[in-house]
Amino acid sequence: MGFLPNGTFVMASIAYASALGLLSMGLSLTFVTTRIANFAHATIGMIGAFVLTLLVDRVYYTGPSYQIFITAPVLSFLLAGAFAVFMYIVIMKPLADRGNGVTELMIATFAVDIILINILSYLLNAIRGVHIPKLIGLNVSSWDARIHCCGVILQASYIVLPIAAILLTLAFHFFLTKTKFGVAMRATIENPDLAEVMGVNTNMVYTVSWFISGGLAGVAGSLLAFSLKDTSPNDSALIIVSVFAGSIVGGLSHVYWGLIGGFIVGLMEKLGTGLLDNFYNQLLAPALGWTSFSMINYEKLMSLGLVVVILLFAPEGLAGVDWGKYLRKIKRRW
Amino acid sequence: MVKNFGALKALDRVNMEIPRGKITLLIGPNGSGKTTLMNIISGVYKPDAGKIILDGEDVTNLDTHERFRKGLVRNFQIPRLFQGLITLENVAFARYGNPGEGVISGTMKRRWFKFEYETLKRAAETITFTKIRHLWDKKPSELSGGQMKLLEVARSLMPDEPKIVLMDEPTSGVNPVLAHEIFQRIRDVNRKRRVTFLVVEHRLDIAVGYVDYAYAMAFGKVIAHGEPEAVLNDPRVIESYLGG
Repeated sequence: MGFLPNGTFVMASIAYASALGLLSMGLSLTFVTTRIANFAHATIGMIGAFVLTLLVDRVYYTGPSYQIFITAPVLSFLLAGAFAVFMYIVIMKPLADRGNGVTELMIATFAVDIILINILSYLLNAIRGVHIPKLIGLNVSSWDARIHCCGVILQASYIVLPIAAILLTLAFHFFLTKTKFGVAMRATIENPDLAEVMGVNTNMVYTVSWFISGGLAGVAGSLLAFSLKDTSPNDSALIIVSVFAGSIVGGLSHVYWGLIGGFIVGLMEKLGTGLLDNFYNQLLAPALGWTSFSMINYEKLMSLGLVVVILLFAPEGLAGVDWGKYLRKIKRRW
Repeated sequence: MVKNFGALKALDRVNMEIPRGKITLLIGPNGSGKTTLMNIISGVYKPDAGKIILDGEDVTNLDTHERFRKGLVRNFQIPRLFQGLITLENVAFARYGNPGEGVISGTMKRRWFKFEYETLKRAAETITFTKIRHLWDKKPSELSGGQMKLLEVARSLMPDEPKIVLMDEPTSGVNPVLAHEIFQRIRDVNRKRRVTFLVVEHRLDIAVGYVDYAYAMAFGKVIAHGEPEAVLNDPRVIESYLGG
């Protein structure tokens, strides 16, 4: 089975899938609370990559450090969350209050996306590196610690990202189920009008949901930056496609399914494409005498193809599937 | 109170005073502005002109949730309940002031446990009072339309000091026996707890026996008010129904 990918590639794929899961979960959260499809979401995540680059230049320039896995995600969570709140309060909410519909709000998020990409690009160009001459386009993977595990050398971010995704999801679940504010958020998600007449400050719930959503994106962006070829806010234009694919595959109106959808799409993009590439180029093409070609650049085809297939068979995404029915069938068979 | 929707005058200089501690009936043909008025009083719509004074305090600029916290409770024509919660939880949800409602304090059980315990106890008493205790563990999907209405009545009583409860057609879609039951419960609450009610109702034959005062509206204006029987027999009211 020589076409199977190696352990490093598998872990890199899981890390990427975890980041997409966090991003898709955040996207679903703001959609389910405020009905805004936020196309700036991945670029908000790039604020995390920006924070990481600055930290590398100002603090951790001497080389890899495990400390960066605490400081970068925490600072990114706060900064990206703050930007998301700013975006909601200053732009999206006033537009929604003036009666703009889903389409207008979505287009407004495109505008914010372009503005934010330009601001981040400008800042990365303009900020003078203290220890590193050129911040834009910097490949920060050299500052990612290396871990020797099971005979392979892994970037530490490949381990940290899945752990961060699990911990943040557990924390979010605790927040939703064990705090009164979480109960208010669930009530607002289920029936905002009723929650409001029952005394829930729905505006506060919406604002907090944007903060959490932006924060999750910031954490994902800061840790994913270690895997990107270079730090460029333009990367978000491609990532957002996968983030939406993840949310749609999961079912756009279900927060936890957004996480699962993002994870599946991420795995399909990296691991699925890698497997297919190896299978074709190492087994099929040599055996049949066909020309070999790299499929790695076509990974978005996997995620978008998956969206089409899922929507054909499960229009409401994976969340809309009656899993109980299938489980009962399996139980009966066995 | 004035409210226009484009060229339509939904409320045309409406002036009302709801007597404290009484049940006031609000009647009028479809399109007369009753629901618009309820929406304005509860804060769903903002008026174009006018003020809403609750117990001497101007609440016109407060949001819906802030008015609720001032004691202004609203029920809907079609019951709106949290589908994922059972009867007891749906009622308990309506008590405001839980010290654990903050993002941080919610994680500290010690700070909210007593309040939560008292809330559930009171919710249990309230559903006993409205005679739906046997349904305490049922989800809304398992309740009949009338039982959902009674649940809404119970929910109205959960705020610590409800000053006024707005009820929009509490007996719509309910059989006459249960409709009388609902009004009986409303009157019990009113008499025993001195809660003020403003009730919009189309089933005048049932409602008239339970209310203390009545307002009639047509074309966005108040056309009569006073003793319920007198308002129902007012020629302008009869004409508005026949003409409308």
